[in-house]
Amino acid sequence: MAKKVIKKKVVKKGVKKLAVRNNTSSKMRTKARSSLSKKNDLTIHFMPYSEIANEDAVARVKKIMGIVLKNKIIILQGKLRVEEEAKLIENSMMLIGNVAGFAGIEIASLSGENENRSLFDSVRRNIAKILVGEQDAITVIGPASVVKEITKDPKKVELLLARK
Amino acid sequence: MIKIIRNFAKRIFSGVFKKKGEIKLGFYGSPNAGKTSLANRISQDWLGEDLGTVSKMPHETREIQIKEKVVLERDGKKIEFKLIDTPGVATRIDFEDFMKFGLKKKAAQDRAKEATQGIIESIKWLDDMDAVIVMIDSTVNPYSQVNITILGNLAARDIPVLVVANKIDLKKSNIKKVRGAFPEYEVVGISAKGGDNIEEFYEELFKLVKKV
Ligand SMILES: Nc1nc2c(ncn2[C@@H]2O[C@H](COP(=O)(O)OP(=O)(O)OP(=O)(O)O)[C@@H](O)[C@H]2O)c(=O)[nH]1
Ligand SMILES: [Mg+2]
Repeated sequence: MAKKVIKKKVVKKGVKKLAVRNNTSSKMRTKARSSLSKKNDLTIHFMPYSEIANEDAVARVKKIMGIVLKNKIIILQGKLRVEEEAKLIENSMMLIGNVAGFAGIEIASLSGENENRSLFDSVRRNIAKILVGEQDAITVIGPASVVKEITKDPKKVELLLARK
Repeated sequence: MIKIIRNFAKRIFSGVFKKKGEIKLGFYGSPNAGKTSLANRISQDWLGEDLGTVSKMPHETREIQIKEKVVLERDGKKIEFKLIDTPGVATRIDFEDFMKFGLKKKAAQDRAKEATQGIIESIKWLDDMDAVIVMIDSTVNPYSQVNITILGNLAARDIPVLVVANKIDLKKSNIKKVRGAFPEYEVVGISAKGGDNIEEFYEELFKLVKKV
């Protein structure tokens, strides 16, 4: 039932890109393979649950980390399982020090039942509404460096979303 | 329902097969929550020796620290614990944060590397615990993903948990908020550093052990 609402709101299924770039050419981006792309390059990847529904834990974590390493913030419709959360942390820890500029992730599962106010607080309601409607739960996962930027300047995301 | 049956079965079988020997008691939580401070206090109270080092710089514990044969006694009942202090779990580690504490770049990077390995260890050890103290700094926001992930993973493994809201000696402490965040858990407020309310903590610890 909730799913239908989401599809309507999201318009197109799959990846939703909202990108602002600060003159980072695509050449530069491909060159910097094992390091994160520029901080100002903020992209949001909307992930409908269907995108990972049929994957096992390992594949899910791999998919998520792949996107995070491209310096994108994932907004996942729904929740990860607890063991996937743990795996995601383990994976992030393995990558710190091996991927230049990568300092781990920020992850927040937001739902009606818990009031996770640790991050994105001022923006999350807006993001949630725009992207997934009044969905039960969403999970926001992003590279720590990027999330730090946002929490410093929450308007950035709101502006982005307003422009879409 | 299934869970109740499983717990019931577990209790019966552990009663039959496992002589209720040593209880492996884990200390989990975010860096700086006060895990080592509490583990040290218990170890001091009953053994007269420390278990690990405490520091205001996060990620002080970067390897699992164990103290065996810590026997606690209460109301004539003796219980032997194996205290297992774990590295604080975080989702991110930025070596530059350590430089703010005065570490040189190289030392900060080394500490960060060790801290990442420590976190992987902490997560691996979750499976080995009989019971766990989840330590929460009551002066900061309890709704952190680390707390949620740790509690979720312990619940999935059916490991009994006691939530300790630490640092109640500080003005900013807010136990109510911790209780509000995790209403389904027993929460006891203490000061691991100053010793406030430690008696109540021991009482809750003995109750916790009954669930093992
Ligand atoms: N005021 C106050 N400070 C405390 C209390 N418990 C611990 N601390 C302080 O908090 C800091 C961290 O304490 P630790 O025991 O090292 O914390 P930890 O959870 O083991 O941290 P990691 O090993 O980094 O994961 C130290 O400066 C302690 O002195 C308390 O009850 N009250
Ligand atoms: Mg410690």
